[in-house]
This record gives sequence, C-alpha cells and structure tokens, in this order.
Amino acid sequence: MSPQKHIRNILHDLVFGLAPTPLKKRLMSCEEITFIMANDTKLSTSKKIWFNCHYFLCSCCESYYKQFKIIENQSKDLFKQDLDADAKSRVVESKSDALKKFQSK
Amino acid sequence: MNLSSLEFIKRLRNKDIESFKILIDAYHEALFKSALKQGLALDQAEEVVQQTWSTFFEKAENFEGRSHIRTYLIGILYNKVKELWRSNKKYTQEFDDEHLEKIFNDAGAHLRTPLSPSNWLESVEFMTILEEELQHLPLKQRQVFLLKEVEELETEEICKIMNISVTNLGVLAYRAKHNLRSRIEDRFAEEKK
Repeated sequence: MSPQKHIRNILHDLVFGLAPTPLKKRLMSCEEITFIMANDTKLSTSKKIWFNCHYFLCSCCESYYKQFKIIENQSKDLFKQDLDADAKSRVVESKSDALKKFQSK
Repeated sequence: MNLSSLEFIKRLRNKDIESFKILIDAYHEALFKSALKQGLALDQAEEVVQQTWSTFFEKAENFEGRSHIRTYLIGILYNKVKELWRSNKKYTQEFDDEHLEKIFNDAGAHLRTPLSPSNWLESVEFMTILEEELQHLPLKQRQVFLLKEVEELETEEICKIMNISVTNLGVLAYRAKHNLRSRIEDRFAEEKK
C-alpha cells in the first residue's frame, strides 16, 4: 500500500471513528456514497462538498468509483463493435422479412 | 423525414405502409443489436425483433408520440426479451446477489478493501470477463444496466420501459454495478492465485 493511501486510511478511521454523529451523517456512509456513484445522482452544492470530503478520506470509495467508471465505459465500447458478417446478413434477411410481413397485412 | 414529427406519427397510427418501411429501415439493425446485447443468439434476436415489429404494427394506433419512437420500440423489444428469458429455463440460472449485503458493516462502511482496478484495462481478457458477467446478472439488473449505460436512455424513459419507480431504478442500477464489480474483482483475484 502506498504511503499516501496509508495516511488516507488512518485519516478515514480517525474521522469516521471519532467524529460526532452529525458530522458523520453529513459525510455520509460508504454505502450511501457508492449508491450516489452508481447512479450519478445530482447533488446540491453542499452535498457535493461533503461527498468530496468523504471521497478524499476514503480510498475504498475511490477504488469503487474507478471500478464503476471502467465498467461503464468498457460496456459502451463492448457494444460499439460492428456486427460480424453472419449477423449482418441475418439483419438484411430479417429486415426484408419484416417488410414483406407488413406489405401482406 | 423526421421520425418524431406529428405528421409521421399520424401516418404510423393510420398504418401507412410506406411509413412503416421508413421506420424499419431506420431501426431494424439497432433493434437487432439491442437484442444481441442482451445475450440472445442470432435466431432468438431475429425472432424477438420480428415480434417487436408485429406488436408495434398491432398497437400503432395507440402510439401517441409521448416518448421518442426509438424508446417506444426498445420498450417493446425489452418486454419481448423478458418473456423469452422467463420461458427459457436455461436463461434463468442467474447468480443470487445476497452477498451484496455483506459488503458493508452496520454503519455502512466497507468491510473489505476493494482492489485497485488499475490492472483491469491491461488485461486482454477484461472485455470477455465483462461480457460474461453481464450475461450472468439477474435479468432486471442487466436490462436496467444496458438501458442506462449502453443505450444511454433517460431515467424517465427507463422507468417507463421497465415499469418501475425511480427509486427502484436506482436500487437496480446500484445492485447491477455492485454485482459486476464484485464478480470481476473476484475473477481477477482468482487469476492472481
């Protein structure tokens, strides 16, 4: 683990262990933070600040965020790929089938 | 021809064949791709797309143009896929997502430090793993994920297609991504061993 990450973890444990409940509530739990990340929830300015504070303190949530982003971006790329020749010819065939069906109705 | 114009919608509602031709030309391939994305084989994708067009043709007079025509068609297609999956036992063997409850403690903090995904993109197998795990997601989670991240539809449109509330959508998207990340993480951890 990098020293930077180690310091963040210590800070995280300190803040989330010792902070009074109202402050903890504002900082939100990791569960709430990951829910916001997964849904790209629009936040008010004040919530955004608390979200960023949590993110700065929590290397686990940072890893989650990176994982989510990779999954989202790569899924888009995965399906951008063109159809193979077999699928393409099936598309053409089924398209003309669909057209014929309509014409016969 | 603007496929969202009132005039075009009116022609569709009157079952004008020429308008249907234009529509099929514009969206047939996109629907086919959308069916394949959901893990269907070519035959199944073809069948589901044909059923989508038939349903659209039958219900065209009810189409009011409140949603974009592409969204409306995708909605029909997703329901057809749902019917197919439910009728086919082979596709109902999905992993449970009970383990999600064990990711956070009672205070909502991580129980286990997630692995850094820095090596994910370097792996040549990443795309294959992602595709496999996507196919293993429970049906509703998979559909929500695809509609949101791949089709890039708006929240309101997804809720309409899936017939779910915004809150439910949030939970499904969350669980889908959680499941994916945790399964992919496990696969990479296994590989390291």
